[in-house]
This record gives sequence, structure tokens and C-alpha cells, in this order.
Amino acid sequence: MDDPVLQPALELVDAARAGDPLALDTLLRTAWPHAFRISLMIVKDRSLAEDAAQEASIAAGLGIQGLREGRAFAQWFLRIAVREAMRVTKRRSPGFASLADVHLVEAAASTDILDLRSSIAALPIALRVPLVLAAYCGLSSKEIGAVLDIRAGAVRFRIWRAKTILREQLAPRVDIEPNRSFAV
Amino acid sequence: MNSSDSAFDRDIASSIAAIPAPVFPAAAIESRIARRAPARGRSLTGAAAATAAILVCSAGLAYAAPKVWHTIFIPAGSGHYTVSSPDAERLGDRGLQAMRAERSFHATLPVGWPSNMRPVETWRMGPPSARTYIVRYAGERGNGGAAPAAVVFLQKSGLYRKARLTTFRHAQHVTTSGSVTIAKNDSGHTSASWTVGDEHVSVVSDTLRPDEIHRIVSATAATMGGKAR
Repeated sequence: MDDPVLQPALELVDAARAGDPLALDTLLRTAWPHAFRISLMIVKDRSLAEDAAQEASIAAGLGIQGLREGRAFAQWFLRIAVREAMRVTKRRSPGFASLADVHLVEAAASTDILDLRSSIAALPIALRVPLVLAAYCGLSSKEIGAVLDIRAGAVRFRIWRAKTILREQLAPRVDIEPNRSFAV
Repeated sequence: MNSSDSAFDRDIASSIAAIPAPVFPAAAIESRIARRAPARGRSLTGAAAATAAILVCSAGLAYAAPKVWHTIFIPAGSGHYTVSSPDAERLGDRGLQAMRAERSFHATLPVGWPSNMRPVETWRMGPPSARTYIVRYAGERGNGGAAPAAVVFLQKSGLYRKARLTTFRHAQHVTTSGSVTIAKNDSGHTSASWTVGDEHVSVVSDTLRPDEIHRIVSATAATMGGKAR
């Protein structure tokens, strides 16, 4: 499993910014799984997520030399990945697929993980994206605000709301059937 | 943030981090960056100068009508293929689905590829009655070797002979196995073409070995319920 936080070495980012093709290849490979997972959590379809992650990688490859500070790479790249995934989401037809195909290829994943991920996927996109960027990417509310172009206060509220919904959905349920007798 | 909140964050992060990511599509990304950034130089095109195989395509019939011809570059391994056509168009990232949806003939993709190769780009050309599809395959680079790459042409079998759709230049070593001819040209590209049912399939690659091409030929023929000829 990759580290949830995208933190490539500064030297690598600087070399890619300077035009080193090998460094750029390594950098994009490092960022690829993150771009894919973020895209998947936004578009909810593996094929579309792959398209979005690919577009994000291409945009990053083309724009890396214009990045002023190597330290800003993660936030800059995630902003591109979210933008491409949102673009794909707007383009696709409504009612398109779910995360079901992710479950199919992950026979080894536990039910808890799948339940949690399905619940995240079911959140409205306005809550889902800040949550993913905060919990998975480790971005601060201010950084997420910069990525999504909303205020940090709004980000905090959306994350709180998302977690509240998730906790409610994932809380253990006890179903009581009235008038049922038990033989011991 | 309290401890239960951060534990919940970790659960969320773990559930997302457990999603298996597909193989990094190095060839597709590299080629599209190279195409869209001409000022920086195209590493693939530069490397290709010595190794490119020129595939001259013309589909005959309506396809031969006077039009403005343009050239598309299909990167593959250390080189690229150049296809000249009056109407070639890229079908986009969901090209294979588009191909299957609008196919004017069987258009079955060859099977039996090495496990690390998959289709990454699709083009079509010619009118519906004489449609040709081109599918580029790519894969992950092995230990120090070149990234596997190949280009597949799918044509109507009846048109193949008539239009001499594909011409491989500089073929040096030609071997025939059964009825399938595998040619290796002086730039290191290996090509094979065969007909199954309504389809004429051509595979060219500078990374596939002849035995891998043979496997593709046999598996494709078996899938399509016929024998390669």
C-alpha cells in the first residue's frame, strides 16, 4: 500500500521542473496511484478514473516546468487531479456505474473497508471531495480550500458533515423483531 | 481533532489507499506529452528517425477519393509508425468501446497478448463500408528493456488484397509458419498479418518476439472459431 500522503522528494520535483525526463517519469509514477484513487472516489468508475488520472498526469507533465516551488507539487498536482476528475464527472452520462467493480477486483479487502468506501462513495460530491483530500491526501482545510476554490471554514464544515453522515451509516444496527419468542 | 476523529481519518485513508491502482500507462502519457509539447522536442520522434517503419495506408474505393491527407504518429517502443490517411481520426480514451459500437465488420481484437500489454489508443479511418481500425498496445517497461509496444490493424479481409492496405518497407527476414508470414525488417520491427473470417489482422511491433506473435495468431484464430489463413 502506498503512503496515503503524496510527498515526493524535493530533489525529484526540482529535477523534473528542470526538464529531466527520467525524473518526470519517476515523479508521475509516484503520483499516479494517488491521482487514480482520488479520481475513482470522485467519478466512481475505474475506466473513467483512469482517463482522468491520465489527463492529470499529462497536464502535470506539460506544466511542471512552470511550477514555481517544488514544495508546492503535491497541492498543485492534486488540484489538477481533482479538476480532471470533476471534468470527467460533468461529461459522463447521469446514473453511470458505481464502485461495484472496485469490490470485484479486491477479493482480499475486508468487508469493513468496502463498507466504509461504499459509504464514502455514496456521499454527495461536495462532501466527498474535501473528505478524501483531508483524510487520504492529508491536506489542511486551507490547502483544500485552495484546491477547490472555497473558504477553509466551508471545508471544515463539509468534512464534519461528511464524517457525521458516515458515522451514522456505519454505526452498528440492532434490529428487534417484536413478538418473537425464543426457545432456550 | 480528538483521537477518535484521527482514528476515523486513518480508517478512511486506509480504505482509499487499499484501492489497487492500474499500471502506470507510461507510453500513453509520454507520447501525449511529447505530442502536445513540440517546442521541447519529441524524444520518441527523435529516436524513431532511425527505426521507424513507414506504413502507407490507403483503403481504396471511396477512401481513395482526393482529399487532404494528413499524417498521424503512433508511438511504439523505440520508434513510431506513420500512417498517412485522408480521414484518420482518434477515437479518444474510450475508443475500443466506440469501435465495438460502430463496427462495420467483425472487428475482434486479437487475443493472447503477453499479460503486461493492453490497448491504449484507437484510430479509425475509411468510410463505414471499408473501415480500418488501428489499435496501439503498450505495456510496462521490463528490467532495463524497452517498454513493450505494438500496433494492430484491423481491416476487412476482402479489401486487404485489393487495396494493398499495408506496406512494410525493408523486410529482411521473412519466415512462414503455416499460412502466417512473419517478417522482420532492417529496423528491427516484426510484423505478421493473417486473415480470419471477415477480418484481416496485422500486428507490428519492435518488442514482441516471433513466438509471442505466434501465440497471438493461434489464440485469435481459436477465439474467432476459425483457422488463420
